[in-house]
Amino acid sequence: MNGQDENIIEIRGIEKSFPGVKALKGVSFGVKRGTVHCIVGENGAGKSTFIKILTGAQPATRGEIKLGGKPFSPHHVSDAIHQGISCLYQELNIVDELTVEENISLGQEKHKFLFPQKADNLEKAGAILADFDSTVSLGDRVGSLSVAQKQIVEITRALVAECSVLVMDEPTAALSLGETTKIMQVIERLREAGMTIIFISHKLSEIFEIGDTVTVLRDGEMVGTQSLEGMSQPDLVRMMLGKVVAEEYIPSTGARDQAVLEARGVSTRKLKDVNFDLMKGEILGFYGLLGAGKTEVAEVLFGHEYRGEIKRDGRVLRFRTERDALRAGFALVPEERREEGIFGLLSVMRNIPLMNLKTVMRRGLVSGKAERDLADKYIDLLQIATSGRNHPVALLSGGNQQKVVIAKCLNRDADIILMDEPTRGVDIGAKQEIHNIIRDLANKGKSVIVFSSELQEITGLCDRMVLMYDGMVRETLRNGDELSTDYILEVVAGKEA
Amino acid sequence: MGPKSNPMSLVKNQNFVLLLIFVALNVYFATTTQSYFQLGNYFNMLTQNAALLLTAAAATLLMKTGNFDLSTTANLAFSGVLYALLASWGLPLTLAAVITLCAGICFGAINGLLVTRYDISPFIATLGMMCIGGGAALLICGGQSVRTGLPDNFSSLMQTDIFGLPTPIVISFVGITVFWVAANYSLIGKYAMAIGSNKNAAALAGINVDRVVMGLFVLVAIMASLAGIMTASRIGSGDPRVAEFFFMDVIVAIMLGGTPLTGGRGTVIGTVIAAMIVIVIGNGLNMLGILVFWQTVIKGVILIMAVTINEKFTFSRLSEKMSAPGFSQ
Repeated sequence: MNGQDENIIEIRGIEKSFPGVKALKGVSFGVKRGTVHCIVGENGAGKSTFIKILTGAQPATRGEIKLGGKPFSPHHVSDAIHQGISCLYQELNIVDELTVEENISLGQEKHKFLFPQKADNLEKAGAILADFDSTVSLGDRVGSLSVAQKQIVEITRALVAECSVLVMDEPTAALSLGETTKIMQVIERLREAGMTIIFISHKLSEIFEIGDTVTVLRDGEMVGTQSLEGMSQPDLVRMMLGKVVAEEYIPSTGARDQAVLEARGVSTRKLKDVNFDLMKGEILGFYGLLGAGKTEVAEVLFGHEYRGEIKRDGRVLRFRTERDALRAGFALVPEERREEGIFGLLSVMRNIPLMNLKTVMRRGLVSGKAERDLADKYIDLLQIATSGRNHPVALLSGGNQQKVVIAKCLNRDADIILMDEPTRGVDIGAKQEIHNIIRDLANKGKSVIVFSSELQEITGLCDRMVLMYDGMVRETLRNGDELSTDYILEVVAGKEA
Repeated sequence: MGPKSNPMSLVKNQNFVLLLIFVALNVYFATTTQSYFQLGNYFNMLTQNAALLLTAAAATLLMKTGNFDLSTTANLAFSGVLYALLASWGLPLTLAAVITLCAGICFGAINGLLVTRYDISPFIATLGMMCIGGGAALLICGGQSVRTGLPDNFSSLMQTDIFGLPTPIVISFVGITVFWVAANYSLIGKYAMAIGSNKNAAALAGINVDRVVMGLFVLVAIMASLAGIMTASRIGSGDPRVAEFFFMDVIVAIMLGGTPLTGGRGTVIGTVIAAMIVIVIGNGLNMLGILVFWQTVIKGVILIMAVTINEKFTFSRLSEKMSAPGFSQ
């Protein structure tokens, strides 16, 4: 074959703006024919936006893409498919009610007066399918297949459509270990057959296992495109996270010698034997890359099922619902502020008491005066910048919305406060203010757990930090002068402690 | 790889269960009343409900996409009144019917446009059209049913026979067959199923989701309009208040027949058997001399039961899926 080294895709200065945000700020790189090209980046790096542009789901604002030397600007997903780029999205895009065969031909059927004709590529589809997984046959109803098998059906559909580039967006996210191996083998064989694969995953071990080249995105910008050969996992993580500027760490003032929470051998589908202690008056940070298991720890502490033992002040806890967790003195500042934190259409005054309405009830009725007093107290305490207590929360800035959520939790008077990404989407000034609020809480004897994907936040704020990798606690560090961000990066990138 | 030859699967087959209920009801009414089990009564039932069967069969395709139409009653009333009005002005019946059907299509076109182009939920869009259409029906006839000046052959559509079968029965039978074939063997049925099951996947597969949904809204509107013409000729006048519960009957039949509001599955045959169950209950209760108002109560109970059973069915299938390999560790 000539042109082994030729770039099948050439991307030049791709930009994408949404109202108020620039999701991609000029991305340029080339994809070599017949390679597995990985794209990595943390949340908000612009991976999904890039995929959408490449597969025709969204147009680019600026820049150009060349496919096989020809300009390529798909207006619709089917445009991209016809020109040879197929995509496996994170969510399966397959119809459970139809058979494998019907799914493969869906939308592309040959028909006479709307009655489908026997497809002429059926044999080909059957052969491809049998090659990957002999237990799946064309007549099976897709709903009866496993997730990996459904992905194989999707891959088969792409191959039948004669794609030359297959984009896979986190194909292994929902797979078990055995199934992941199977999909990796499929990818390996596709590469051997000359297919170009663009592979997106946050599991770095997979990137190193399967990838030839990697492009790193960060905050919508391209950090670099490099061969994975000779690259180490910490190198890659450093590229993904960028320079970490250490923030001045001020320890909490409490004694922090009395454990209020002890987790022993906590396991779920994702977590493996997680152990940690939380002291009174302490800020404990959970740090790890996307998918390391931070969110799952927060979920377990807020009522999700787990195996193992969690003790609160020496008593074993068993939560069945979020209500149980609240009653046990936990409060959660959730990651998805808009979806789970605020009541956007309600005013600041109405939001604050919602986790503990008793604080505004007088003789069985909600008292307007109590509500106003409570709102004024927290607006003053947390310096919430609002034009008034009647201002709808949806109209506040991200930082002030977050303060309202925190006020809601404080009014609950919980002893253990869980904060999932407390400063995501918050501007720099408000970030510092929120950090001060968290520090204040700890100094007043509350215990705070911060889950963050920002290393700077963890090292600047937390008294101790739990480093996670692949569902496991790799190491627990005490914050202080000898802390090395390089070392932390190596641990969360998977280096054995 | 499903348990294809399992004898339990026959019991799990919703259509088979519905058929059993249908037979049981027939046996019950045949033994408890004298005039029920007679060919004439069956012809009577089918003639009266031909419009319902036809519309419900077509609306099953729409519901499979996860959409539904509440404005069928309004369309039926409006079309019936308009047809009678045009006939009373001396227009030939065929021309009157064609004009009426064209007007009826507007209901579907507006519903479809609101749902696909403006992203309004089918509940709001078709509820709005239900009020607009119902009001329009009353307006064009001044609130009085159109019964004077009608030609002598006004009711002949419903009173003639084809090969010994009453015409309306033949019409509904042909219609049901067409929709059954469309649902099971044509791309329309497949696309409707795909849209209801996973709209995103359907769109990404290159199916023009909006066009399919729009087309099905129009199809249902044509059938509801035809139902209006058939009803007007059956009762021999254009009555704006006729068949108040028509849309309800259509939806009860579809849901009892195994199509959930969210779509994704369901069969035309299921709808037809379910519609027959509702029809037979109505007729049988009449024969037993039970007050007609009870029928409305019973329809409500059937609707709630049907939805509950459907939800359970979906849920058990979902948990089946969760325990399938790939979901567990």
